[in-house]
Amino acid sequence: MGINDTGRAPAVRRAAAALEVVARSGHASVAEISRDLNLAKSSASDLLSTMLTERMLTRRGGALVLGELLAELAAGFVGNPNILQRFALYWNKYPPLEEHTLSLQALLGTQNLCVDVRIGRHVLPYTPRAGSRLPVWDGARGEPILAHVSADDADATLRRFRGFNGAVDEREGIVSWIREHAPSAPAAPSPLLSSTGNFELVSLLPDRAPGAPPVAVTLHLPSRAAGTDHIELGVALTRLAHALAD
Amino acid sequence: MGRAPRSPAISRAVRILEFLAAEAAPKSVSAVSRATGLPKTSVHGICLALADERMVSRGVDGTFWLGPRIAELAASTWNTERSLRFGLLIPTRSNEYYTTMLDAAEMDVRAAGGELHVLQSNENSDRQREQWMELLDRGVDVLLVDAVDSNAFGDLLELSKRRNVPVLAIGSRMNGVDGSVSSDNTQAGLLAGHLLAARLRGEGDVAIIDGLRKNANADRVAGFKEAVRDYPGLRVVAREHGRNDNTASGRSVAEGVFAAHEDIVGIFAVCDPIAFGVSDYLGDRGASVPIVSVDGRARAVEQITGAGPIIGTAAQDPVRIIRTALGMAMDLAHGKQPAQGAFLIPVRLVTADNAEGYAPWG
Repeated sequence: MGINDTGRAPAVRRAAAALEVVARSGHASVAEISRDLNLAKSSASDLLSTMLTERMLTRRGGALVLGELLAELAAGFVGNPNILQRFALYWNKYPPLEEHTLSLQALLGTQNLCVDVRIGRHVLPYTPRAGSRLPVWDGARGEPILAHVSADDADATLRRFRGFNGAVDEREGIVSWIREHAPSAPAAPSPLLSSTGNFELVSLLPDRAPGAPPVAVTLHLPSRAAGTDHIELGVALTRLAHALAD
Repeated sequence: MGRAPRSPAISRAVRILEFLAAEAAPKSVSAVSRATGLPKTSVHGICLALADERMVSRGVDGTFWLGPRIAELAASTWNTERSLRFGLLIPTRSNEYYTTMLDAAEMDVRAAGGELHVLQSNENSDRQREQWMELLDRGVDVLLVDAVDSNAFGDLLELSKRRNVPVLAIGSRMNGVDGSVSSDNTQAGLLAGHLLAARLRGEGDVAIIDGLRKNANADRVAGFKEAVRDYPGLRVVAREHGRNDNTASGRSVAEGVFAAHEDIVGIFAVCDPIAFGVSDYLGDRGASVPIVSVDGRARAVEQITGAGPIIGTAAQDPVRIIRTALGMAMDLAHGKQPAQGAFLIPVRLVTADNAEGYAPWG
């Protein structure tokens, strides 16, 4: 169905298309959006006027750019708008981390949502991207993030997102796996292999808001390379996680 | 009353998304309808349209929550070099030093695609404290402060640190900041002191007309006293603080100082506006006592090249100060520590001998 078809809520679909145009190039003029969406000037004007009012878009110089509303909405994934802002600003504040790919992950039921990512210089088997959702459970073993979440926290998010957990509710299996495999005390950090092929160091953000899902910052490595100081990386990652949550 | 949105469905969609973002768990159409006050049929249609666009996700139980497209778009927002918000606290706009600084700041921040939030406190420390809080609440990424009182804001520095907002001191240094950019104020006092001593041939009683209790003024006075120590025949017989760094304050303090010390033969004023107040007072009395000062304003240069009584001013460079500070602020806002914590911008002494080659500000 095209964006100008008279299906359900066509204005909403046009707004989504306008966001797509702006996101693609970083900024766009009214004329560019109007042309891309094949909208008459007056229709584009009404659409963009409302989007500006609602802060979906904002003006910068003579162009339109994505507005603050989007980051505010995305804060819903992590329960605190400061976390996203700080991740964007501080991901390279800790020198051992700056060359690595880092992602901000939220555990939503059985899915691990990548909320934001900063790409490092190492080529990875899998390059995470914002918005990607990966299952944390293959029926037998859990993804690295599950090794850092308490059974109670996992149980809570699995219950909240039970309608999103796939056809079979695997809550009991996951919680049992966590109880069996989660380390009882923090050990020296060691990258764990993800189903994506990446080795991951994970640090959970402390002190999250009531009801907010578990959120972690993850460092992605191409291999468990010898010579890499995982302790130094782990310490820096933990410091970053605390700074994001502070 | 605000105008009705031209595309009401978009506004409804935003209300639904905002509600879902505020919830920790997926919600049914009925729950969304109750919370937003929108009809269930409208909520259902909009949620399905948003689900088509991956802006919401739909559970097998018919509930809805935020979709992955929101994360993608938000990440694009950060990746398109979100405009930085610079907060700038200054003591006053009624001062050419700050208007010159602001013109340069606005030009540079605009060129960088950022936002500049400027508040002035009428040289009132309590007011500046409120404004510091206001800028933190506005969500500035970095704060530049020309403090009315260098020692009054320790708790606000702590609060800024907790909120991850770097603070730069400009004009006057402060303890506990992430960096500072100021004139070399000690050098300014030193140069002014040597000029006055030379004019007085190293003899006589002199007075210091001070201003706000801030580090910059203290450094200028320290530099002036250091210069005076080289001339055993010069005596600093008075140092009086004005309530402000302005002309009225300079005049008021001068009245008291000359009433108490009739034999004063030279004045060091910590800034040009104070020097203008002293100059006005002396002019009314028909007296002429040489004055040295700090700033480098046009009116001071007029007196230096004319009939006085100002004979020299150590010129600051407010444009270079703010440009250096904004460069540091951009680094700090991106998590990079500056190469050095404090930048001291050199001053130049403007006298009758070299004023021709000096382009004053203000």
